[in-house]
Amino acid sequence: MKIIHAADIHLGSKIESKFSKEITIMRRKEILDTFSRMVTFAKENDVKVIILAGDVFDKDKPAIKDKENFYKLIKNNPDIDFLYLKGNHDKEGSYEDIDIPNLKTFTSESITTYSYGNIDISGIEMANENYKSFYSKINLNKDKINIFILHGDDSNTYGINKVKIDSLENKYIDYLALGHYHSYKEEKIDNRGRYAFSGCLEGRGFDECGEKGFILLDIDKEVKSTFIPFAKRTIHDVNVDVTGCKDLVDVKNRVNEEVKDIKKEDILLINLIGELPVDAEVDTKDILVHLNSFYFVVVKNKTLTQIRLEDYINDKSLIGEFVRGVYANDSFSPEMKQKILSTGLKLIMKREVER
Amino acid sequence: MKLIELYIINFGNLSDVTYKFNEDITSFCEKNGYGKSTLVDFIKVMFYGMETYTKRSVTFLDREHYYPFSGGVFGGNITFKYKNKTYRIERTFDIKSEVSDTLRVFKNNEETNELGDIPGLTIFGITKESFERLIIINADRIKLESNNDISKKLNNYTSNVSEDFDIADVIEKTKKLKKEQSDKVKELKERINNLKIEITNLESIKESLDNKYVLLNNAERSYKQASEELNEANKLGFILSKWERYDELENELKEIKEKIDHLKEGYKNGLPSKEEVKEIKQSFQLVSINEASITNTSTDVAQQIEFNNLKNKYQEYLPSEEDIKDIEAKINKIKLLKEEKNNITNKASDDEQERLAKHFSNNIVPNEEIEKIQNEFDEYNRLANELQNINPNVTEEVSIKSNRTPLFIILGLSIVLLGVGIGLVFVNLIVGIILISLGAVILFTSIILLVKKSLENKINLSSKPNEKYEETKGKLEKKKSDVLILLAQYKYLGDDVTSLFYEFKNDVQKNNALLSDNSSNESRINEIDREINELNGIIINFFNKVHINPSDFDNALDTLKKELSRLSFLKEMMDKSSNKKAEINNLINAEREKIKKFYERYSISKDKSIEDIEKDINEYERLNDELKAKTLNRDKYKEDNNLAERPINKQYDIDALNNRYNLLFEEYRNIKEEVDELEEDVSRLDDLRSDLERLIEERSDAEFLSSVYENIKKEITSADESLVNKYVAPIRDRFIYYAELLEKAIGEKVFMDKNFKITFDREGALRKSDHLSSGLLAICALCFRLALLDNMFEGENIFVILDDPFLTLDEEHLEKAKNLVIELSKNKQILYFTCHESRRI
Repeated sequence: MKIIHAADIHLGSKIESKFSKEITIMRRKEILDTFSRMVTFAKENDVKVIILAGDVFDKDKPAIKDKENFYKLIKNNPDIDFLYLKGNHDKEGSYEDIDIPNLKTFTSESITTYSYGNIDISGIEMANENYKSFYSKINLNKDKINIFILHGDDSNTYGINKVKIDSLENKYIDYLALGHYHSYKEEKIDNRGRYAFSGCLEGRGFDECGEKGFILLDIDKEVKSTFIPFAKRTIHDVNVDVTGCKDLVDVKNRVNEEVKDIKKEDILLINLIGELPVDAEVDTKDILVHLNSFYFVVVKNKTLTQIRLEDYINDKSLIGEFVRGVYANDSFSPEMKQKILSTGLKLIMKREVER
Repeated sequence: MKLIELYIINFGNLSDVTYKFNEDITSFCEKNGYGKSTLVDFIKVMFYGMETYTKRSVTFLDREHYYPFSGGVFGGNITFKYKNKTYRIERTFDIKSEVSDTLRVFKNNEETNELGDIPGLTIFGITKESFERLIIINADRIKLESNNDISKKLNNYTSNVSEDFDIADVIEKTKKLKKEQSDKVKELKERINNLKIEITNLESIKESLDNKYVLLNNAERSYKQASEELNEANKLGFILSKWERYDELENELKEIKEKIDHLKEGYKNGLPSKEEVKEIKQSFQLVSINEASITNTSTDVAQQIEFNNLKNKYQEYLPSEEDIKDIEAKINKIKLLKEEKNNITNKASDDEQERLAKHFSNNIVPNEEIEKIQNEFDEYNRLANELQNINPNVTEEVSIKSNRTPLFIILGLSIVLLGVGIGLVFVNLIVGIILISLGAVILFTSIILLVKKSLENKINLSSKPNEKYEETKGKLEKKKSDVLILLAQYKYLGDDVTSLFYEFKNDVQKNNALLSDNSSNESRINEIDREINELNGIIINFFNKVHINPSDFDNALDTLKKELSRLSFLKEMMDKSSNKKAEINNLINAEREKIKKFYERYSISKDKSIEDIEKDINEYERLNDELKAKTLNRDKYKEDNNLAERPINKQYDIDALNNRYNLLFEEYRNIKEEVDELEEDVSRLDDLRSDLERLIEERSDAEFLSSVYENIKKEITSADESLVNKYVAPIRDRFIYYAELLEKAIGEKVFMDKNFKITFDREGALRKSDHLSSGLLAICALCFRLALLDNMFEGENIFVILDDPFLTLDEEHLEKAKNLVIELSKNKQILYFTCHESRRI
């Protein structure tokens, strides 16, 4: 039997503030579209169950249109069971008054189990009342294949959104389907079982970089799991060290080298780091124009200007006085010092400065 | 710090040349192009090196400029005294890159690296550009504009900045940039405030959404309830309509049952089966058919009369079949006898006998004679057959060769004609063309004829008579003649041997038979006549007994046979008719009995015909089938429509329910639309929060930048003040020192105030430097530069290069300037370069 383990879809979610309005609107649509594509994938690959391990919606009270779209997909696929366990983002109002035969849900009151032949899929929603006590209530049939669903980070301690992995040892869990952590991760529970985060389906900002998708479980006598990268776009956070570059051409070449293997439909955050000479004129707008073949790019100039105090110790000019004076001023933070020096020197040298 | 000497291996146009320097002044007076500037630049690159050549270099760099035209080692060395030690810098340069350059520094002849990678920076404490501006003084650089302030002057001489650098511009630009950022901060603050208000509004809308959701849920429940009620009413109406239909079906069944009962009333003992009716109907038909057949079976009157007549005619004598056969045999016997008599009488006619007598003279031809002629005739036939198989001619093959020589002559002639024609074309065109045409026609014709002759060159055949054929033919002619002679003896004449022979042979047979039979024929004819008369008598007598005219025996016999046959047939028919009638009457009575019993058994009125009964039975069956089908239909309808129990008929006002439903649904839809709109608004919250985050970040950046520009302004102002404080007083002191020398040399008393403003004493009054001549001003500027230099390089008395600085001075001022330089050189090493003898020191 084939099962999909997905989580953290965050329908109706807030999108990265650095994205433009158009990209934000498009990304919201793409999140729903990727979920829909996943259901189509399930249908085409004879998947019987889709586990949604929490945070399907981004808010406690999802917008009606988001709910309508989501439940329509479930209704339109009656051959697939959707096992939906609520997470910390969609605790309330996600599926009240919804009566769909193939939508199976869980509560925080007790462990709910759904059986599919020799496979038992159980789960419980974590709440203030149960986050410590539910571990002792787990009583699984050791002769069956047991899949358990929870929503929380893997942890060594108890907590409302924490899953204490060592407390799940020797509970006959074969596969623990987790949600909450937004990247794919799979590790061992004990000699029998392992736990996995499927991660989210689509990255929503520069804090959700890397490949996103779901986990496909193929269960016969044992549980075989495969991570399926499925996001329409991958978000990349790329640091480009431009130390040694003398000018914009050098910087562009260095950036090219770093992004050459990235697909054009992806989203990039380029951080220019390292040191540049004081007279190197690098404008992030030029880099943006240079990278306009990508779907969306943000360029951050985090470079430092190469200014060494020892070069100015004997400088009897205004520049020497200026550099020494700034270095000697302890009221400035290192960042402020760097900025005063790089900008001040450019002004003295009649170069373009940041506005 | 003093220069001692320098050695140039190769540098520009200078090669393998050594220059030694005096401690005071070393004067170089060379014409333009000699290498004065090269020498100055050599000193500079010895201390500072050369920049690497790159494609992006925009200036004509030293490396490229001074690379020796003739190749060889590019570089040299310079020796100088610094901090009481003798140093030597040795350098070589690559044509392009400093990577391959070499630098070696020796201190008291021992290699050292204490001067670092850029010895000039260590020794002079200034950059290469400052070195150029401070130490190398040319005519352009000693101008002193009275309105320049100290900081600008200092910076121009000491900083790596452009020539037109003005600190006031920098401060101004910094202020402008700060203002830009401050304005931006202000604008961002306003936008942030507006955004916050908008977010607060949307948040309160979001809060209010909870109430709207409650309203929406209530409205949804209400309209769904109304929908259910409406559905229930519609459903009841629907079910009742189904029951109505069910009742209709029931009524139809009732009607059919009534018809069946009515039909049954005519059959008190029940209805007969269809088979019974069919049987009785057949009985009726049989009665009818048999009654008709009795009528048809009766023989007609004519036959009866005929039968009676024949019966009477043969009442006395009815001949048996044997009698008839006997008479028939007798009639045939008469016919045979008459034929025999006729044959005898007509065997040979008189003409035939006469013809035979003419050939054979009433004598029998002996067999030997006949055999002889036969043999001759056979031999003749054999020869004739043999001759037929022999070919009358023998064929020979003869090859005939035709003579083609004349054609070849004509062919040759045509070629000659063509040749002559072609030749003549150039002399006489028309004659030439005619000859060519003629030659071509003849050539064409002769070729065709030659081809034709070749084809005709075939094999001819000739033939000659066959000897054997001729021989056999002779024999045949002779044999024919022999046979014809033999036949001619019996007067058979002619040329056709075969027909004559067979005519002879036939006639011989006839003649011999005729001559042997003639004597016995007469007695046989008499016997035949007697026998015929006897038979005639018997036959006539027989026919008279049966009253048939015996004039023609064959006709009489035929009539007898027909009448006897007819009599027999009529008798048989009369017998059969009488038996059949009795049989049919029995059948009719039996069928009538059956019919009677049938009517009695079912108590059916005799007035009802069997057809009516049949109709009733069919109708009864049809009604029963219809009843069954309609019963099934009713049951199925009941089952299909789940009509288990008839509901109580509640009265609903469907229209009112419909209106209520529409009203509630409309209310729900309005609230939903409102919620959708609010959700749409609230969905902007995230975007607005993102915008707020972004604007706050932008504001923070702008505040930071504003602060940066403010600090830059402060720091640059502070640096400028510091620079002034550090250098103004010492420079003024040194300028006063030089001013004294100046007074000695040129007789003018020059002053400098704290702001570097130069004034001079003229007739007891201080005047601005603007009133000085340009030449004097240039000398003042030189003094200022020297004062500056003295302060820039504390502790080390640095050399100065004067690169033809007095180019613009008049003769009077030039002499004064020369004196000043000599005076200066007492305390400062001066390298003086000029290109004109008049300016030589």
